[in-house]
Amino acid sequence: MIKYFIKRLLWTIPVMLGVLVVVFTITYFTPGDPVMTILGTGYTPERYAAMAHEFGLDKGYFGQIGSYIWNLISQGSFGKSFASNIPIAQEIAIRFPVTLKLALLSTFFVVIVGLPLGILSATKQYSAFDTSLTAVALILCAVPSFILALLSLILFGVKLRWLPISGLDTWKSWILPVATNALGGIAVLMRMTRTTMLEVIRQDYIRTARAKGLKESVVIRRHALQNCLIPVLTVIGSNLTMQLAGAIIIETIFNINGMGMYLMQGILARDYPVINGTVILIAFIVCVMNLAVDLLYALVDPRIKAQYTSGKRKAKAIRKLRSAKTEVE
Amino acid sequence: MNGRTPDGERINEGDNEKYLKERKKAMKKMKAFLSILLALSMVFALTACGGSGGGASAEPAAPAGSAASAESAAPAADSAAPASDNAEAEVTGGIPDTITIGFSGGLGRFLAGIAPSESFTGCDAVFDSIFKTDPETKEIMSDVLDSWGWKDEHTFEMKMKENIYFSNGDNATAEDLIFSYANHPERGSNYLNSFGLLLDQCVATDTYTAEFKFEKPYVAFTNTIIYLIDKSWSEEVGWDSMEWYQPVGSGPYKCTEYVADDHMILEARDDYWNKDKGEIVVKKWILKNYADPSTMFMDLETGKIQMCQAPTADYDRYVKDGGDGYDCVLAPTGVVCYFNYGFLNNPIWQNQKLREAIAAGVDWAALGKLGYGNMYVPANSLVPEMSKEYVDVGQVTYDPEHAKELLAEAGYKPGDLKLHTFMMDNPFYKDLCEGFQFYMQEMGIECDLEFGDISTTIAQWVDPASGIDFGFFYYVAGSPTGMLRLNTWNAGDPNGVKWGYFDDEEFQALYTEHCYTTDPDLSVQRSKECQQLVYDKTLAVPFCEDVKALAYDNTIFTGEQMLNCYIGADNYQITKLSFASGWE
Repeated sequence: MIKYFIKRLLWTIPVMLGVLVVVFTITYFTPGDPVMTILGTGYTPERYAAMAHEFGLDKGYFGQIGSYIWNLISQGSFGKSFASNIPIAQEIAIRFPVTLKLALLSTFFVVIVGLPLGILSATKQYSAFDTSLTAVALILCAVPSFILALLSLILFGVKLRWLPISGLDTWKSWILPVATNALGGIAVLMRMTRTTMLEVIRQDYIRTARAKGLKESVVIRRHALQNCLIPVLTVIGSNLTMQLAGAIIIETIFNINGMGMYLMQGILARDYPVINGTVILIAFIVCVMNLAVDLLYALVDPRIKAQYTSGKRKAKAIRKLRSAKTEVE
Repeated sequence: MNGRTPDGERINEGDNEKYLKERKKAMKKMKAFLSILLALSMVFALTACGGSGGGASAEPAAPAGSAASAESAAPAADSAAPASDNAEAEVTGGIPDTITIGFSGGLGRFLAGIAPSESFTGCDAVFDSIFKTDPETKEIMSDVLDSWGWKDEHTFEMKMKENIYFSNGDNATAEDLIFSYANHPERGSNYLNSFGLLLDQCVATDTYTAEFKFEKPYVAFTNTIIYLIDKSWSEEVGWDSMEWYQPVGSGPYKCTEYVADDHMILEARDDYWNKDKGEIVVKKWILKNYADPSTMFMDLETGKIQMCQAPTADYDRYVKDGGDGYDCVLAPTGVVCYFNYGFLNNPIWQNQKLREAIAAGVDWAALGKLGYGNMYVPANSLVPEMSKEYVDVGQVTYDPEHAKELLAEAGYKPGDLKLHTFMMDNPFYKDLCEGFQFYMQEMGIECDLEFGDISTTIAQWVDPASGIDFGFFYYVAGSPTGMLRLNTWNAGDPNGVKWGYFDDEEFQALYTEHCYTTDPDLSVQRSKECQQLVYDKTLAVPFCEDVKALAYDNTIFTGEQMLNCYIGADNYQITKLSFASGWE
C-alpha cells in the first residue's frame, strides 16, 4: 500500500509537467501579446524589445518553456506576474487558502446534506418525499450556479438584508458563497447516492440482514451504505477537486479573491507566469485528490485494499489460511 | 403475487391490485403538486430578478430629473441642481471618517502610464499632481506650482512651491519635477509620446524652477495628469520594487494597505505639507475592487460602499424605481463616442460619397441609445457641449433612401461591399457593432464582426494587416475640459491605432495647429474648424456624449459633490472631498 502511494505520488511529477507543456503550448499560440497589453498602443519598438527581453518572451517556444521549467526545478520559483510584478508564489499563498476553505466548507455541506437525503430518498422510493427531492435535485442541476448566486444575493442580501453581499469579512459572509457553491454538488450527490443505494438495498445480503431481524437503520448504515460508497466517493472527490481548481463564477459574483479569479485575470491579460503557476498547482491538486480518493476506496472496500497488498503479504496470508485449513482437517 | 411496500411491509395478493390503484392515484396527485411547485418557484425566481428596489425614498421626480438631465449633459455638468433639487434624501450622516469607493475595472496601482493602469483616484490621494483639472471649475490647476507658462515656442517654465515635502521627509525640487516626466519613457509609458518633449534638454534653472524644452508647443501638456515623484527614492528602490504598491508621495494620504485585485487603504498623513488646504476631514479612503459591477452596486445599495459608478442596467433600474438610501447623478466625462472610418486600413474610405452614404444610412440616435440606454446624450460634434471648444456643426440625418442613392453615386451596388471590424468583447461594443451591422444590412453592405479580449484586441488594432475597416472610439480616461486633442487621441497618429487616424490633409494641418500652439485661443479656433471640417467631409460621425452614472449614499453626499470630484472613467479627485472645503 505504501509502495502504491509513493508510486502514485511520483507519477504526479510527469503529469504536472505534461499539463504544463500542454497549457504553455496553448497559451503560446493563442492570439494576444502580454507586452502589448502592458504597453498599450503607443510603444516604441525599442521599448517593446526591452520589455519582451525582460519577460523572456524574445526566446522561441523551446527557450521559453525550457527556462520556465529550469527555474521551477532549480529555484522552485513560479516567476513574477508580468502585469503586477508580484511573485506568483506570494499571490497563490494568499489566494489558495481562501479557495481551499471555500471548497472544504462547500464539500462538507455537500456530504452532510446530500448523502443523508440520497439515502432517505432511496429508502422511501416513490414516496412524496422522494419525488419532491428528485424534482428539487433536477432543478438545482439545471439552474446555472451564477443564476443561483445572483438570486440569493438579491433575496438575502439586497431585499432582506440578512447576509452580506461580498467579501469574506465575517462568518455570515461565508454563508451565501458556500451554500451556492454546494447546491449543485448536493443535487448530484443526492442523485448518485439514491441510485447506488437503490441497487444495493435490492441485494440478497440486505434481505438476509433484514431477515436476521436487524433494525432498518442498522441495515442501511452497516450493510448498505458501505457498499454504495465507492461511486459516492468518486462524486465527492471530483466535486472537491473542481472546487479547489477555483470556482470562478462564485468568486467573481461574491468578489472573493481566490484562485479562480486569479487564473481568469491571468488568462485575460495573457499573464503567462500566472497561468502556468496556477495550472501547475491545479494539476497537483487533481493528482493528489485522485490519489486520496483511490486510497479511500481501499479504506472503504477490503477487496480493493487486497489488490494493493504486496506479493509477500498475500503469500503470508495464503499460508496462514492453508495452515488453518490443515488444522481443521 | 406477493410483494412488499417500499417500507418493507408485506402485501397480500388480494390487496395488490387495490394497492397499485391507490399508488397510481397518489402519484397523479404528487405530479400535480410538483408541477404547481415548479411553476411557483419559476415565478418566484422571475420576480426576485425584477420588481421594485425595496422601496424608493427618492420621489419620482428624482429619476425623471436624472433622465431629463440625460437629454443634455450641460445641466448635469454645469449645475447639479436638477439632480440634487429633485428631493434627494437629506444628508444627515455628517462627514464620515472613512469612505469606501467601489471600482470594477481593476484596482490599478501607482505607476502611471503602463498597464495595469494607474489608479487615478489613488494617485490623486498619494501624490500631488503637477497639473490637473478642477472638475468643478474646469480650470487647470496645480498642487505644486506657483506659476507656469510658455517662455517661448519651445520652452515651458514651471516654478515650484518651496515647501513641498514627500512622506519620507525629502523636499521636492525641480529635479523631481523633471524626473516626474522623464521617468515615463524609461518605464515604457506612452504618456509623453505626443508631447514632443526633449527630455535631455529639460533642466532645472534653480532649485525650484524647471524649463521644459519642446520640439513644438503641445497644447495638451497641462491637460495631462502627471504626478510629482521623488526622484531619489524612485532611483533607490527601482521600478520593479514592491514598494511601489505603497509609494512615497507628497499627497495628503499614504497607502497603508494594498491587496492586489481587492482593495487599497489610503490614510491621511498628519505631516502633509500643504496646511493651506486646512484639516483633512476624511481620515481614510478605501478603494475596493469588484470583479462584477452588479455585486458592487448591490454593496452600494446595502451601504457597504458609499460611492461607485453605476452600471447601465442598474442606472436604468434606478431611473425606473428610484433608490433606497442612494441616488444617481449623470456626469459627463468630457469626451464623445464617435464612429471611425478606418482610412489607413481600407482605401475605399477616400471616397467621400461612400462615407456620406454610411453616415446617412445609420440612425445614430438609436445606436447611441442602444449603447448608453438611459444615459444617452446626443453629440453634435467631436467635443461635448460643455467644452469651450464646442461648435454645433449640424446633425447627420438618418435617411436610408438617400443613403442608398449616395451609395450608388459612390459607385457601389448592394452586395458589393464587405466591412470588417475587431472590437473589445463587452456588451457596449457588441451592441454598437451589431446595431451598425443591422443598418449596413439594410443598405446591402455585409458586415463581419469579431470581438476579443483586451490583449487580442490591442494586438489587432495596431496591426496594419488586421483589416479593420471601422470602429467606435471614445477616450476612456475622459477629458475634464472637453479638449478636441484628448477626444480624438488617435486622429493624428498614423502609428497608433490604425483605424483611428483621420486621413485628410486639411484636417491634419488644422489638427496640428490645434495641438501644437502656445496660443490657447488659436487652439480653440482650430479645434472649432476641425469639428466643422469633420462634419463637412464626414471624416467621422460623433453620435453620443460619454456620460457615466455616479451612484452615491445620499445620506452622506449630494449630487453636486459627486460632480465636483468626478473626472471620468472611475477617476475621482477625492482630495476635493478630503478637506472641509469639500463639505461646505
